[in-house]
Amino acid sequence: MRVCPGDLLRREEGVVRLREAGDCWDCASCVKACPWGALALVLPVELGGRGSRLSARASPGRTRWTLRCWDGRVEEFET
Amino acid sequence: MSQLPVRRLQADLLVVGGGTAGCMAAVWAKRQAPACRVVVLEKAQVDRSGCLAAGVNALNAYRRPEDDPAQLVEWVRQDNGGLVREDLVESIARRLPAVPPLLEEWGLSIPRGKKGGDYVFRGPRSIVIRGEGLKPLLAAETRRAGVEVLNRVVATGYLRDGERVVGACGFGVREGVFYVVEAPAVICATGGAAGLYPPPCGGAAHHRTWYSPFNCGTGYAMGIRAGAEMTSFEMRFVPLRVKDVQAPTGTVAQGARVRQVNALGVEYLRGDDRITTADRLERTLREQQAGHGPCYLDLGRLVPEEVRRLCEAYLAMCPSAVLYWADRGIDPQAARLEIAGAEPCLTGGHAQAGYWVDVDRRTTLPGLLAAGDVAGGAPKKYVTGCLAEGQIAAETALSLRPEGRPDRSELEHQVEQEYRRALRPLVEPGPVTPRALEGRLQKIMEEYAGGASRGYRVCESELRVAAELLREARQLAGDLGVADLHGLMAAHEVLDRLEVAAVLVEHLRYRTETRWPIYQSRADFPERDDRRWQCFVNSRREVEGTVALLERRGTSPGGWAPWH
Ligand SMILES: Cc1cc2nc3c(=O)[nH]c(=O)nc-3n(C[C@H](O)[C@H](O)[C@H](O)COP(=O)(O)OP(=O)(O)OC[C@H]3O[C@@H](n4cnc5c(N)ncnc54)[C@H](O)[C@@H]3O)c2cc1C
Repeated sequence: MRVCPGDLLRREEGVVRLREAGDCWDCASCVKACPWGALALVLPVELGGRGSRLSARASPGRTRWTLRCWDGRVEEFET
Repeated sequence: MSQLPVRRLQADLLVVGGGTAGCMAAVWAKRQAPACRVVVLEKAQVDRSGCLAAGVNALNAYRRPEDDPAQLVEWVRQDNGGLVREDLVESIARRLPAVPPLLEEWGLSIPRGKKGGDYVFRGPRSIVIRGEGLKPLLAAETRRAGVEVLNRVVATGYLRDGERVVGACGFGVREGVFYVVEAPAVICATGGAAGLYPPPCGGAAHHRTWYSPFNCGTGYAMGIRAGAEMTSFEMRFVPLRVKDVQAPTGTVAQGARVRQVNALGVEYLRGDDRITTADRLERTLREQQAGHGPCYLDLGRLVPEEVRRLCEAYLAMCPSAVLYWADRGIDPQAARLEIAGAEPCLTGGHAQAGYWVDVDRRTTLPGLLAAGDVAGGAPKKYVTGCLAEGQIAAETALSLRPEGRPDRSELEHQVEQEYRRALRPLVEPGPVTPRALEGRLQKIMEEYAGGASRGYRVCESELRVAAELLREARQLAGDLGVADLHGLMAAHEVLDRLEVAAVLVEHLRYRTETRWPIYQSRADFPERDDRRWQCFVNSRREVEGTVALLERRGTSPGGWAPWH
């Protein structure tokens, strides 16, 4: 919420919401910054999205990514 | 909420935009003069703002210490229609060798090759970095240096004392405060302008653009409103990208030989250093027009380890690419990524639209300097060049002396006017939403100013229509209405884009030749004409609101005298 370069996240009744999906750049800054790992990136339906989710856990110097594919596969990456 | 409290600050140096160039400028100023008060106005949050928000995986402008800067200048010149500000490019080239070591000192990890500890080169002038966290590193250094960063403050306009720029105003989008910052030196570093043309996809993918959709050309617009001279707006930048996800194509070229093929599998372009981005895009368009589309980057057969490496490379800069493959599938046996041209944007970091500056990065307005994508005349500066310019601008800023005291009552009058202008969509809301006006702007630009669907070509008869329709659209600006401060930010984003688009169209009309195919392609003047047009097209907004165009000619480095 703090880092979003577009000021797009806000708290509504205790829940963090994206103001407008179409305003998101997909930079994943919020996904990496969320201390609970509660946020994930999904591909818009307009681009052929089928519901796979990409989440991340950042620690200094490295980020661990988890890709949960729509067909059930799970993959881990590190950057 | 209808009125905002006003908060006033006095600084020795004000930096507008805490991105790549802005953070460096602020840190550099504190290094040279630790006692000076440096304030940064940043519309987002410096840890993840601007072009570097998602990360980058290369420093695309680099020179080994032993290589001649003149070679780099020559390469940039040849790649850009033989017309660049060689003095500016050279001043960047001189500083390039020292930039990566400085970033390493700040904690950036830069891989080394096997032989002799040299960096890993991706091309002759580009080195590979682990740059996902580059922006947080820059931000941390900015804090460590003792710079005062005002996050979530959207700058809207400069304060003037006659010609001289003596500060800037902006509003806090979260806290609801109107800021007035006075400083004897101001560095503009707000990046370029996205969103002038329609994005490749609408709906939930509206902001899936290559350039940061939050860089809306505000620095250009602030300069235009204040009468600063701008250069080369007609040289737009059009990226050739992995379709839909807008991921750079250079990334996949790492290591493997990548072929650019059409739908028939025919390689229509060989990866050779002398082919420019614009050439690659033009050849791709030609294949499509000939009925041979779609076009692809053909990666051949990939072993699982290579797929993983590719995914990790993209996660460090364009994470949605990996989702795209998860959802759409990528066949490791015959991997290919579809490529396409995206919408044009303005950026002085790839092309050369921006403030007309001297070699010390002074704009034509005393007291105002520019660095990074917002500064013109020096294409191909990329991350490293923006950082170098931040350093140059900071050094110049510290050498400026305040010239007397600004006229207080005149200044207060300006603050009042800017406050009213900035808050109007919120205080006196009209019926037009920012999104609707943005749609109008983008439709005009697409149809009459060379959008992607028009093959990027422009001609006088269409541009004249664009100018007329933009004039109408700008009249609607007074009818913008928003409900909150976030909406107010959106209103200013579209207002600034309209300002920039109007100047862009006049530049496109003025240059009656084709110098930079695709970026600036005239259907009615398809040839390059060096006899007539070996010069820069500059513009300045007159007091009456009209855009005056002028031509600037010059010679090699040193040929552009400072103008103050
Ligand atoms: C997606 C992408 C990938 C890239 N990859 C590479 C790469 O791999 N290698 C490379 O060398 N180059 C790369 N580039 C180019 C390079 O990143 C840019 O040229 C450079 O970062 C621009 O720096 P800047 O300081 O001019 O702009 P930015 O870093 O974008 O900074 C501009 C800042 O101004 C702020 N701002 C804007 N408007 C306002 C306002 N009204 N008030 C206050 N603040 C404002 C923004 O929030 C932002 O923080 C890439 C660019 C993009 C877009």
